[in-house]
Amino acid sequence: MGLKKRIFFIVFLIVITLFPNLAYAKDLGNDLITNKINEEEITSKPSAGKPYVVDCVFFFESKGNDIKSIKYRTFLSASQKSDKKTSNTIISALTNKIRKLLIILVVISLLIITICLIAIRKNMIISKRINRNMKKNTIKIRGSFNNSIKLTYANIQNIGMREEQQDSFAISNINDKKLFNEKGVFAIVADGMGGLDNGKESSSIVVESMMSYFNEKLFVSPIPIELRNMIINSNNELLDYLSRGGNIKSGSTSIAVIIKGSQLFWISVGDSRIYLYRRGKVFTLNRDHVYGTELNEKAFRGQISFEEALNHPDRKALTSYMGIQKMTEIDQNIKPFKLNQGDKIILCSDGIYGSLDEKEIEEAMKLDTQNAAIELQNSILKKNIKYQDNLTAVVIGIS
Amino acid sequence: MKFITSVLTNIGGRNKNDDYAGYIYRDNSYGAWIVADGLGGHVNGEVASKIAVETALNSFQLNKSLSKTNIDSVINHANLDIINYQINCKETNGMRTTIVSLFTDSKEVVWAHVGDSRLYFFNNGVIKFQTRDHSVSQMAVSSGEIPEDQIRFHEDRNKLIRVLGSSPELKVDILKNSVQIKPGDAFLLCTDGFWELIYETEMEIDLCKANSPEEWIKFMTERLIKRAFGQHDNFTAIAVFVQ
Repeated sequence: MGLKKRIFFIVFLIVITLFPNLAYAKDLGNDLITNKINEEEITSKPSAGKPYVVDCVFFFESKGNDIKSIKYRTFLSASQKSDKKTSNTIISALTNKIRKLLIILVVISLLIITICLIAIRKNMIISKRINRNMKKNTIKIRGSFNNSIKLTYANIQNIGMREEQQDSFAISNINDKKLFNEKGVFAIVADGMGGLDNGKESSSIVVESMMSYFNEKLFVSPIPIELRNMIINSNNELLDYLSRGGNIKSGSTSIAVIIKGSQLFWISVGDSRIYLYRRGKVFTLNRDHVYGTELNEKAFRGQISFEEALNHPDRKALTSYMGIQKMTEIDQNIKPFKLNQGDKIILCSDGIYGSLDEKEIEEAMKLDTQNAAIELQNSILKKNIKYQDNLTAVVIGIS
Repeated sequence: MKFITSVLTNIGGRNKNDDYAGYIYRDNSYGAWIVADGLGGHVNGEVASKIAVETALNSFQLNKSLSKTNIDSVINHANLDIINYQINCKETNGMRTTIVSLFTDSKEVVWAHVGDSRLYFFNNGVIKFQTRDHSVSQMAVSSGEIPEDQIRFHEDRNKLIRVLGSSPELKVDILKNSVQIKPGDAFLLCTDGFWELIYETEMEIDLCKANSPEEWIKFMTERLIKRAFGQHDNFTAIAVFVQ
């Protein structure tokens, strides 16, 4: 409806500016019919006041006293004379026809241009950089299903109450049309650990190596296999760095997603989390690679009590992470997960989910992508948690 | 077409397991998968669920037709066996059970159920169909009183309006037209102890991660344990992959 109204308005404006005389003639025409004034009055009207730029000639067909029909013609006149004779000459009639034709051509082309502009604007990538720490991008993509899908994303990062930011994150350039069409969108969050500088270094090596794999490598295998190669490749790069520095004790988590069309693929190592927000609820996509998961399993089998499992001091110890010699646990989907309109994907470090429960994350996600990310940060900072960990989140909205 | 099955049943935080599950399967020929949940409030719930599953499996083995009349008689046979048992053994008079079943001739499938044990049919990784419980909560959903996703938290979700063992007359909910299956399809048959703690979206998430039905159940169970932490009801799940 909005589009129709806009086009109608533009056409109306063009017509008004190009045919001011038409409006005048029409007014006069209406006047004629309602008041039934005779021919002398009309023809004398233009000549009565100041000279008109436009000449109007009215043709009448009359039967007795009633005017049967009124025909009128309008044209731009070269002369300012209000004489009837000039308009009747063959030459001016011919030039008038040509002019009219030209005007119609101009109007049609203008119309086409405006329609095209509106259509392009709708499909165009609208990107907006909010500030250094906050980015929002909107892109419209054609899904493999008939409906088209729009992606928006936002991210937040905060140092919390720590001395250094050890989280790293990256999002692929969705304005790179070729990359986007070929491989979709890629987002990654990594949470480094270990000594001060090394944690930061580890997480950034992971992010950079995986990002460059996505940007540069030709994808020949199905996406889950490419993601797996990507994370193994990145682990090797991190191991290289750690051994070069004399076996530094450090590591990182890694969570990454690829969204292509309406299909989602993820991969995870460690205890960072990927959430799906759907119809008001959040669901974890990946399992935490922590000892607690194994303890739960043991309690379930009756090998230990649930209390023992819950109170075990090593519940949070990582069982798989980047920087480990043999990566045994990798969490990923091997079949595509279909995204729906209204879904959101949240990639976050434990600084987020450790400080917010699922209800609080759900509350934040009810907002639009941009504000959802901001709300995640604000609701944590509001709590003033004493040793608040670094917090990083990437939120991707599907609409 | 090949069917791969995994079954898990667990006593949970209760002192006895009233659930019962079983299946028969022959490659490229036929198969039947059945889960029953003996009602905890009634004595001998575990007897009722066992009779239901075993009788239904036996009676399907005698006639493997997927026709509506045959499936109806298979489930009714199970019901009558429970009633007969009650007549012979008076103290089991109150035993009741739910039942949910899947049958195939290796090309098509049909399913039937009574009570609040459920069957989910997954196609292309998405839930294409799920059975509607014969419970007061489900009626509240049908009348528009509560939204579908509120059944899990509704107080009347375990008040059943149809069960096996209450009367010789039994109305069975049977799929109207059998469904053609394709490789990649999956089924989940489970009792309320399972579906109450696992959201449908999580079933879909874990399905696209799983290499086998066993792994699928493992992922879902991990969520269940985390959520209930030893306090959960008996639960039983049968996962079937079509390959």
